[in-house]
Amino acid sequence: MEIALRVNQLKQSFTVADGTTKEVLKGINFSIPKGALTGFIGINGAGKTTTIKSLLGFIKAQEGGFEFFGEKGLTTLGRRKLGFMPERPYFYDFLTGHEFLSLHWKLRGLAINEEFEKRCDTVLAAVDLARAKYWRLRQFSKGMLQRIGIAQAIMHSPELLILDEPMSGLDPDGRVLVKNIIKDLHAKGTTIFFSSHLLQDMEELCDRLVIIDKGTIIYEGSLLELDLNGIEEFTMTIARLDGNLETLTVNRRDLQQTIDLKRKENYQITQIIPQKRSLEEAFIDLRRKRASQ
Amino acid sequence: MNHRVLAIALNSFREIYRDRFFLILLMGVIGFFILSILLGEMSFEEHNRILFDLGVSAIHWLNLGVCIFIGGGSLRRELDRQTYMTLLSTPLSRPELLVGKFIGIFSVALFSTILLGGGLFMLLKTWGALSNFIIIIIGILVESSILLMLSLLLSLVVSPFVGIFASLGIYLMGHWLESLKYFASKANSVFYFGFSEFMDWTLPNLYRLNWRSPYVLEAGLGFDIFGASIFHGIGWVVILAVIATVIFNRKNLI
Repeated sequence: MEIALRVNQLKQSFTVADGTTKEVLKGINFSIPKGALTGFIGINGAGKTTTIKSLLGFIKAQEGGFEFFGEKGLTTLGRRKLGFMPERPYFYDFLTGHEFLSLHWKLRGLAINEEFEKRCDTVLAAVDLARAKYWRLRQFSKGMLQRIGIAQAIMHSPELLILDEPMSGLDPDGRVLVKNIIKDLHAKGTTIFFSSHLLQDMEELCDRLVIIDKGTIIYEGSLLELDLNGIEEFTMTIARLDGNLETLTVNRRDLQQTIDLKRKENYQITQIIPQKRSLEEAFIDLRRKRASQ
Repeated sequence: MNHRVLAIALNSFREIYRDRFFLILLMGVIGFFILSILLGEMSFEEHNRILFDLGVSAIHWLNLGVCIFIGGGSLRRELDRQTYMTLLSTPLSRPELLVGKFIGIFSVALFSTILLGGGLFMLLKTWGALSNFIIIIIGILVESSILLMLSLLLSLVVSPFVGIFASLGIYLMGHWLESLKYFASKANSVFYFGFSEFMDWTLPNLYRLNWRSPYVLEAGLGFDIFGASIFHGIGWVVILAVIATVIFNRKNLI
């Protein structure tokens, strides 16, 4: 499995107002496989944005480091393959949508030519901003700013896309649009790493999760594994001797015993379904377990 | 020039000319220009001198406004509003952002100066040689470039308000350095002498670039004085740029 991003023992601490040092990242490790759509979950203050800012070099890593596409740190070449949208969409409000995209296009070393104009139109249409191409960004609503932020991040077809809370502050239509863009890019093979605390969206989109809590990674793996690991109850359907079906809810502890018993009683077990928890429940459970350790 | 630096410079140029503060500043300076023409017309003999003094002062103030007030807030605003985040996630480096900002803001000062300076020279008609007038304008521009780099540097370490006041303070001290040195040489105080020497070494001597005088317009300036002063000015820009780059590179953008 090829790795797009690997974080090794990343530590980060800040001096707070009273002069004490607060450890924000306590030597975190995780990796993002190429082509995966990975969600980065944590409550406010867990260290999500600090992790992303460290990865992008806005904050120097105190200890540890990271590799982008097998290269140590974020090199100029690595930046060319990267698209990023920050949490707060504060952009130059004196620019038009077209000027904003052309600035980022030029900063990536690409020439303003016919290809740019075509790409600009395609991307603006994808984020539903075609009509606002020549509007100043100060005329944009928050949702529109969020979408133009995504447009600048995907303009150059990056190999790795990092999005910090891409759905926050969007109305339902905007969220669906952004989710569709993410799904579409993922289908085309783009590696996506995005943070959010909207767990419903994460559940819908991601195939992998990295969960951070109080500066420590408490889970890294597939969404399916996370669900199964914590499942406590199963729904068992059995066929009675008269042919009617009966549904039972069985605890994990009693599962084997119930199966044996029902077989002995000549019931036919037709299906056993793990009672799927929501990601929210799994997340809360994981944090609770971690806190009790 | 690096295309990324050029993109940032163009963007900064665009930011300023679309800024209301700059337009107000420009209107004020044009108003002052018109006033200098009217006042000049009222004089019998000093027509050109009044026009020159007020006109060159107006160009100088416009440069101060652009470099200290707009320049000082430009990079700080970038950091406070976090607009730097999308820029620095591209191959753009921090020194490139700093240099691009400098070039963009300085270009505004340069274009405004050329425009207003050209107008002023035409109004002055035949008084003074063009080469001497260009020397005066170069002095203003080199001084502005020092103040701009100083404002950018200060905006990385202090708040915009403190930065603007510190830049204005250094601007005044830079112009008073010659007087300070003169009085220190007359006073019998080791402390005063030491203080003036210290200031002379740690602050740019802006008085050396102050050629805004009718005498310079008429008689010109020796190449040695001109060359040494320009070297002094550019040297300070380079020193300040290196310090600003080191600070910016080490700064955690939280």
